[in-house]
Amino acid sequence: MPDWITHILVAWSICTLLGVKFRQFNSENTVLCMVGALIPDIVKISIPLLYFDIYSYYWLAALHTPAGSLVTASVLSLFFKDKRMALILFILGLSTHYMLDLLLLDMNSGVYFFYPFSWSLWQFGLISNFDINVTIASILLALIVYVLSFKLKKTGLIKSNKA
Amino acid sequence: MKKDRVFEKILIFITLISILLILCVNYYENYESHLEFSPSQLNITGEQESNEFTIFGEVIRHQEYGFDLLDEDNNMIKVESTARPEIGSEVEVMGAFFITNYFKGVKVVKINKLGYETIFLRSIIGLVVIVIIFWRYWKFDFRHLEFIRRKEK
Repeated sequence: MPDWITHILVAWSICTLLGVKFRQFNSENTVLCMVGALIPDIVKISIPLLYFDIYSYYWLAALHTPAGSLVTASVLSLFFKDKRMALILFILGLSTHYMLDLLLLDMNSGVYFFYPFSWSLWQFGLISNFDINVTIASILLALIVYVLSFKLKKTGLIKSNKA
Repeated sequence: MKKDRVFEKILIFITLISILLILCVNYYENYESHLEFSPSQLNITGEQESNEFTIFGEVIRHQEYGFDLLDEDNNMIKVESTARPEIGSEVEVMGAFFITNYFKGVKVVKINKLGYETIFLRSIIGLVVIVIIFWRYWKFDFRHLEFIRRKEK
């Protein structure tokens, strides 16, 4: 997985760009998309559990598949007033997560993208799991998007829908 | 919240949790037979000394059998592999120990040392950032058991 900074910045950048066209991508909804981008990594809760000698990774690993993440997102969306909107934003966020994970080259050899229907692994092997340059690229992307959206708002081409 | 809506919510919640449990149990029971390199594949010949499947370290020299690796605790490990990573590069090797300090590698991936050492730190920073931002825009309504916007339209 790329680190969580990368995941949340990519989700934020995509929402900010979509916010140029769609007013639904306000600050609150953008945050939900960013949370959605971390949903597949709920499986990482197994790392601190190791300190208590609890080996739960393979019990929870299904959460790091699109099907598992989708069900998790559905459960989380039940705790929001506008459940449908929350679910859509979570799905957008977790889509960005898998988009980034697909680019990786790591020991796991990929994501079981069509689990439980297929156990085929999917990965393009373009970037290393630990490559800090990916984080730097995502920070640069977010900065460019921020400056661009700021200028567009200033020129009045788009309405500010951020709180 | 009306009673029937609460009941509907609980029903959906239980259904979704049940699906999630089925997915998790099915994964746990079947993942091993679908791994690219399963433990049985790694145990190629001889007696396997440990079931440690991944090691990290710096490539210090090439050898006939593969290369020598200096791990994080400064132990020199002989890695049997067809891969020839550059000397001085940091690599992650999947495989198994057969005799002390002799590792049979089946997959070698080059890693960025700085990136490897800071990935947890970067992720924790990301988590702290998202928690702060989330609570800035959302709050939990205990009465209705749901998150609501801090600034309702």
